[in-house]
Amino acid sequence: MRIVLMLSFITASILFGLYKGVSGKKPIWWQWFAIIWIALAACLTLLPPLAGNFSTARMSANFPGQEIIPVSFLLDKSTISKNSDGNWEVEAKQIAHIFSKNLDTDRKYNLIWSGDESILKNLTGGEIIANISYYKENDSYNLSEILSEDPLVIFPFIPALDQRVRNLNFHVPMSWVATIAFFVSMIFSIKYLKNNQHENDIKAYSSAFIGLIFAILATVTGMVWAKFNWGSFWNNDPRQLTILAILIIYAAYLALRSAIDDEEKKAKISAVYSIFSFATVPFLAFIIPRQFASLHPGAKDDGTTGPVIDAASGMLDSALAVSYYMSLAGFIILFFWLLGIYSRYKLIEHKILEEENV
Amino acid sequence: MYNFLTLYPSYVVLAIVLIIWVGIALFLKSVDKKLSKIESDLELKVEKKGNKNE
Repeated sequence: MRIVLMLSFITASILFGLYKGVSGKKPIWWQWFAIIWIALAACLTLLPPLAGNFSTARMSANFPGQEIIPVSFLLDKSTISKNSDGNWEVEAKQIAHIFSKNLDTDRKYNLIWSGDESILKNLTGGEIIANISYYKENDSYNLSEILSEDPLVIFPFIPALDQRVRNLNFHVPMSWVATIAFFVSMIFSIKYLKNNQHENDIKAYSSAFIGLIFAILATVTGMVWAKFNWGSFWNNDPRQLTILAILIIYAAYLALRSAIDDEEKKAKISAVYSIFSFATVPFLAFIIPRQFASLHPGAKDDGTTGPVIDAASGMLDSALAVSYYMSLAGFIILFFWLLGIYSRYKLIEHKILEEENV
Repeated sequence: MYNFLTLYPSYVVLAIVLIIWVGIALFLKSVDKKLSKIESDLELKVEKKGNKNE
């Protein structure tokens, strides 16, 4: 189901991106739709609060410095009472979200609140997200700060990732867009070899060039994320090595083009190179990283195909998954917009050169 | 800096968003520069044509 949904988003955004063709001028409504879509995807990625459950809070108590975590629950305001220490005690129940559907929602948890009673009494009575810490000594949960009331969308709190889980919606689409760009480049290379129109060579080059930019962005954003999750910028992880191979292959494509002066020879040789180099991309991007143990999810020992396409991995709940698909679609649309601008510029440059030569 | 980013993971997300948009902005800047060059070349050509006609 998840893979079908993701492929639908990808297909729809590619079709939308191809409106008026690769080098056609996009109409105003198209541009506004793209801007609004990208802004919406960014908001849906950055704004929703994170929330775990009481078992996550209990588990986090074992990790110094990470004891306080956001938890979502329902408060029973009728149970507010003062305990012997002068603090307020209140009962809470967990809410089963899609990412935590196996939770026991009938169990009641005793929360201790050292703040003002009126803050608890003024709550709406709906879902609350608050910072919670678990104290092993007296088996109690301490409520330290109320973060959100009646949130519309919640992302799951994953202790190892914390807020960095949002990186998923920026870092992973970079690699997908690069793959799509190299695919588009291959299609135009085939078209060029079929009909010998120089326009197709320009589109193939433009797509590969922008794809390379997105591949560099995927590598750099991944390196920054790796530093804070895995301890160093470069870990010789299979996925890091395969994207490096893709970068080298497509950098060589650009080098090859700049090394040949004759326009027709350049176009023919680089079209053949582009087709052969794309043949390596599915292996390097999807197959090889899944054959080895890796720090990335979806590796050999992971037992899943990765959180993005595998519902069983449990990391991506529906809200995070939908925001991810929206973000992916937004970056695909942005890619086609950039491709349109760049190929139009290249076509103009080519026409001027042709006129000069005549 | 590293300690700050470890303490506040939201800023790591901000850094990644910034890297992406700066990358795209640099690309647009390079296209803009090349377009400006084409524009000035075309203006020169038009001027030359004008001078010839005079």
